[in-house]
Amino acid sequence: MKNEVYEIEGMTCAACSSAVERVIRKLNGVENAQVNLITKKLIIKYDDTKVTPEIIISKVKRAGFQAKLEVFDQDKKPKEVHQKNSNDIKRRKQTVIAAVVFMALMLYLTMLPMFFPSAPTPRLVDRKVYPVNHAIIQLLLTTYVLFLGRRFYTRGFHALLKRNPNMDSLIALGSGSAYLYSVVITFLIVDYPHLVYQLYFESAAVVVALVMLGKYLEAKSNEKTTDSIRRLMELAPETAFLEDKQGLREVPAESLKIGDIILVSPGMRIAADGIIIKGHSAIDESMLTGESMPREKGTGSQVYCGSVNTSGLLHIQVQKMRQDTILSSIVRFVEEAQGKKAPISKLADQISGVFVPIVIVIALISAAFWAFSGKSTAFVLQVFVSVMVIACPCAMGLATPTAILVGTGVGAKHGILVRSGETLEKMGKVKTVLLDKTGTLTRGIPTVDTIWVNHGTEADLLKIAYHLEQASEHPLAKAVVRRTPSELIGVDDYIVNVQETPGRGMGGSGLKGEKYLLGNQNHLLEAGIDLSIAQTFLNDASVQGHSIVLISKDDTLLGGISFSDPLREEAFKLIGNLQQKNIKTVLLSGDRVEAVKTIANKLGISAYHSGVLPEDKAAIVEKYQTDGMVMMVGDGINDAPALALADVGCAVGSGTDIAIETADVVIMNSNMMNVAHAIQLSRATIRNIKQNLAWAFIYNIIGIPVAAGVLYLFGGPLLNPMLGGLAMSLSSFSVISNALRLNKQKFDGEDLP
Amino acid sequence: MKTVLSVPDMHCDNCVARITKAFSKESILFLPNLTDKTVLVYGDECIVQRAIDILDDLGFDATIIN
Repeated sequence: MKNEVYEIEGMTCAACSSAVERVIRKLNGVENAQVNLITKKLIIKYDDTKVTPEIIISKVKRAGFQAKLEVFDQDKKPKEVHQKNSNDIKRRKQTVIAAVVFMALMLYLTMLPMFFPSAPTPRLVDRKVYPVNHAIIQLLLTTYVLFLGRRFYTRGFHALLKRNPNMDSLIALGSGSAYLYSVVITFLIVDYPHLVYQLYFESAAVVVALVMLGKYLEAKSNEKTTDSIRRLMELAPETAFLEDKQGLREVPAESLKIGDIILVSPGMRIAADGIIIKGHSAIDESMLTGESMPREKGTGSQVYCGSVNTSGLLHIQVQKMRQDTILSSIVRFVEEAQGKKAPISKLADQISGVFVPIVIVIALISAAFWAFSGKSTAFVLQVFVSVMVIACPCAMGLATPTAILVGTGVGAKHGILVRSGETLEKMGKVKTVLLDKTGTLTRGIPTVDTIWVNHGTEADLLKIAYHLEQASEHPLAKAVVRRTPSELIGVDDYIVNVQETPGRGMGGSGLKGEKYLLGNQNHLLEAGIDLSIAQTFLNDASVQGHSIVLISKDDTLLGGISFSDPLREEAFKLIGNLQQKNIKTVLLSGDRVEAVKTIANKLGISAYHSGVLPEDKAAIVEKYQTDGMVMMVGDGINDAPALALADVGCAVGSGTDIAIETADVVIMNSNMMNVAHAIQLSRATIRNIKQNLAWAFIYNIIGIPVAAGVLYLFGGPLLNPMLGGLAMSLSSFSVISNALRLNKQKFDGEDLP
Repeated sequence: MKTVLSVPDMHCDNCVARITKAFSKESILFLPNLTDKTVLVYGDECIVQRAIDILDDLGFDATIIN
């Protein structure tokens, strides 16, 4: 016998709790079950040979509720980003690990004795005792590392021969020179054992290994796979109820033809684009418009595949084949857009493009100088090679990935989820920001805007409205409930027999038999109420794009309530901030032009597009892309193509799953200023990358004159592997430290915790 | 074939929502009516029986009226 307590979610009334009790008590093996509506707990005693927690939970689920076993605090799991493990990245990881391991071995052999002479080295390969062996070991280890990194040589020399040197060319030249030079020296060690200290094998190995590591980290940070296509396709129902001469039967949705009549129950998704020929209901078209409020539709209205029928039974005539529906075109758009975006040019490659020729020239000039000064071939060769070797910065590969690693971490701390390293770099270069109105600049939740009183007091009006609306799930009803202060809430049966008529409104009776109505114009007109006095109120609301309800008592029009979708507070700050950064802001909305214009003026946005349909959004993105990089900020499914096409797609965390999946960066909280912060972060990261590259190169640049023999002229040394090693470690250390500085990044008007 | 089921325990909008959700998962054509406390179902006896079972699973007693 087990005694357990479960937490039940979703119960709203006594009928619900008794429903759960009924369902659980019927289970064979349950001795006692009690459900408390207020505490949301199910207390159950059962025979655990016959019943298991899984059975209990699934039974409750089948009844339409959620149940979980009461345990201590459960953590809320954040939205998991889907990641496909491509074999490519896995294999690369193994290669990189191998390279780094061998590099470490090399460093142990060569560098460690310098700093910790007492470190144990196998005598057989100790360079003081058996220099030849030592050299051979170094050669073997390095050869393997270079083999692992052979891509640098193939790509680097290829680019070099094309007169277009890139980062790979620099690596190939530097490490290649070091390696070949050391191989030659290896053969000479037999006769000149001291040459074992002239080996540059570890320079080659370290450079190659570190750059491989850096590139791997970069690739990992750019790994972004999305499920958006699959999710979009899930919106289209697979079957539909076809009505024809043979009666009513279920058919695959894709077999529907133009002119077919389908029936759609409440709660079902509509399977095709079509026209309602019978029935009326409120249709949830958030997939299309992003509007969370269901739109009332009746005979003759257009409906779309993928939208949800919320209340009535609808007979719909199919107008488009499946592949011609708006939903399909959205899917196609997203697929196309995902392949279109251009990658940004790598800073390191650009620098290398300039650096490589300069280095070669310096090497040649120095070699020539010393040759003409009468130095031996060995000397000249040494100078030449030294310049090539020292010029190759091993920390170069780490410059970008380290900054990105830290940058994404900082973003995450602020609720800015950046999905790829590339996005982090791109955001700072954005020239235009397109902002979707509903859900991003506004909360997407309707609130009471104006209360117009025709007869009676505002308090009475609100009280009546509250009692009529409290039982309804309609977003406008919820808005009324939120607005009503508690002192106006009267006794429970202030208004009884409350009924909801979908597409119209609410009705109810007062204690003395008064007939109350609350709803849209049609609702009251059909009851014979005269609305002529309401015209000004109605016109005002219509112009501003506000929804309304009218309220009547018996034959009198009591007044009306208009609803608006208010702007978020940070919206103003955001626009100001973006304009300060010289970024163009553009407002997009499906609303009518007057409503959009008003909002644009309020916010101070100069450019706006009204009446925007989903297919338009992508086109608008393209138009602004001619000016530079574009960031699109949106939250609805209809924003998906635009989000995919924009250089940076930004979704607000409270938006639809599909917007989040398609976006490159997600703002996890509702603070719109984070859009500006993201851009600021990106710019800081780009700055940091440039600083890192500077640190990577500076030690090497100082080393070039030494390698060329400048110090030698004054009686100093030529370059030797120790100096090379010093440069390598200093630059790596500097790059990493500088990248970590990004953690201290502060955002406008914010103090970091 | 239209069948009307009487579901006297349907009290509130949440009940209707649960019924709606459960039925739409099943692909049964139906129309719930909170005022009359009925659920209209399109289908043959098999479907009607299935509807009754679903309502039972939800915790509602359902009887055929017509």
